[in-house]
Amino acid sequence: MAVIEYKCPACGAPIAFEPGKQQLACSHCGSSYSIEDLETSAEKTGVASDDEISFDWENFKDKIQDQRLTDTVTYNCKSCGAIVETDENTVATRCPYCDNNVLISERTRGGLRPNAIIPFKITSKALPEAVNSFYKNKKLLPKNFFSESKLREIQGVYVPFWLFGAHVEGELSLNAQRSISFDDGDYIVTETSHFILEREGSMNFARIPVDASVKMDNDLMDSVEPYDYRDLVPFSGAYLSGYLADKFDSPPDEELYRARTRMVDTIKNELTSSAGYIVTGERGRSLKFSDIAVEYVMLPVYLINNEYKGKKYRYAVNGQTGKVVGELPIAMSKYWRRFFTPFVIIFALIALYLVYVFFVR
Amino acid sequence: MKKLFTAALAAAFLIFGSEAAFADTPYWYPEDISAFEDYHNDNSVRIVDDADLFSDSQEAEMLEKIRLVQKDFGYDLVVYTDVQSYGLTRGVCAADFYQFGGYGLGDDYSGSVLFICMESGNRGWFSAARGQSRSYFTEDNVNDIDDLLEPHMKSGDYADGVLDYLDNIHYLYEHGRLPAKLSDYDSLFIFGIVASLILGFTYAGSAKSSMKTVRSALGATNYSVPGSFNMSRSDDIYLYTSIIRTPKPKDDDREGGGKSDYSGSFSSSGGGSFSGGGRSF
Repeated sequence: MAVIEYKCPACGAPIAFEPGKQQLACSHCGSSYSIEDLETSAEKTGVASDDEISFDWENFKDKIQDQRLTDTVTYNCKSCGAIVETDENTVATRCPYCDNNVLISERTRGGLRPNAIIPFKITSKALPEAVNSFYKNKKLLPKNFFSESKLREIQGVYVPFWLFGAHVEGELSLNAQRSISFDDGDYIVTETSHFILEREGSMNFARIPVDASVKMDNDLMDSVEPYDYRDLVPFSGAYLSGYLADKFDSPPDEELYRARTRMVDTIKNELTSSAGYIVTGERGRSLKFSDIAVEYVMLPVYLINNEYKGKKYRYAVNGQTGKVVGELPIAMSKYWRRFFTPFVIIFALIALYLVYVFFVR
Repeated sequence: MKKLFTAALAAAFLIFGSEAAFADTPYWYPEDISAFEDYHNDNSVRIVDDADLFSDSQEAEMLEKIRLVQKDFGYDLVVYTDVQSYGLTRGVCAADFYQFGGYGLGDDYSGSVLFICMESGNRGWFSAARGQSRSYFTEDNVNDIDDLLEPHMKSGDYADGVLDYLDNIHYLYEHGRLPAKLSDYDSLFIFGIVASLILGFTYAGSAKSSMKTVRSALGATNYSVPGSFNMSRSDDIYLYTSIIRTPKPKDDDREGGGKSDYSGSFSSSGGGSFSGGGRSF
């Protein structure tokens, strides 16, 4: 299996992408190299001739999707010679024996090369601060959370994403009403006028991100949005050096529904935001999607496993913006204290008022 | 005492032999109303129980309370019961009894009377006040007094009702209002519970929701191409109009009691000005 190992041209030690410098750096001799330098470097090995063929959905649908790629799941580490097993979707990994960074180039060839990548901008050193900011103002954290929880694993991962774009034309038929109330002697009169609203419109969407990895939690990946696409650069395997990366294992056809659902929500809101009406029901709808565009990109995410009282809590950190998302343990005693605080305050005020009414006034 | 008073009045009617002494004329009416002039009859009894609702001991207890009001505030206080109202409204009957009986203290004949009428089909009571006492017998105060009296009247517990009434009148003169009741604040407690629940859920719920920031993405507004939305059709088809008429809530809808038949100012047959109100039972 073809693999690429990025090594320092000066000393031959493994080199990894450094977000702070936006270059590959050698931890052994301290040399730094731009991506362009590495791409042309003689130290780069195992590059196939079709390496530069990027993903194209039409081509993928016609030629690639139905081909069963006979992918081996082991490779020989060029640094230490060990036979290393990988997941069949692994694109970038580390040798567990010598910690050498390896890019399995075969999995980014043959039209499977990502169209673009957002390189990591947040360094792993900045993560504790980002996580501590995430803990701020979390009022229900258990008292001993900081002393008893441990960040077990921090992994920088390039997650495969589909970026969907489309032109959407929609027709909606809605039941709606508009009410006015006025006084008429001893009565309040409410006049409700009933309408059918017929709406048609269109809208364009671009680059809606949907993660293309089955094993990645969809909600977790939705939550690390948004990414600033101005940082998208043409894909180079060199960006993956020092990080983990998988190729997509869920093709665009299977993930398109998630982008479509989001587009439908938005165009429906636009079409129904008619001032002055209360929409009471939907009579019918017709939505057509055309000019569907798909890009295959790699987006940077740090995955952090935290353990507290034997339970694992997973956080994800947007590797570009530093946004942290996740689920934290809740101290129920603190929850109920907050729940009853308004009771105590309100009834203390009522009691004071009644004392005034009954005993002072 | 009551019997003496009744006998004296009856004797007066017999002596004067008035033609007006027919069945519908109160026995305590003066012979010639047009010639009537206010007077102070300090010897008049303050409890006239013609409907025979009270025992002697109860009357004695009531009298003590009446004396206390007279002593503490200088206002007269009278309790009058009868089996009829002589064709008069309960208010006028109460006011006439007070005025023609020579009740009231001071130059303006300040004081009040509670008249309990046990006439079949016309059972009820009325508190009528004269002179400075009128300023205490506001609509709110009369309603509060009647709220307290009503359960006693309806249950036939007349003596206890009147004893409570006398205590309340003493409190009214002392504080300008009746003592607060916890039941008046039911709505405050309900408001407190509802507000606490809403605030509790909001306060604790917002903290809880901040503990989980992993959620499905909804909508794609951030990914819509700016200016690309185009509404090509927007037809509003009118169908029909429905009209609902809801009665307005009345300000005088009271919780836990009826509404007193109140009059801020009315005249007795003798021309005296009174305020007061009462209810049927």
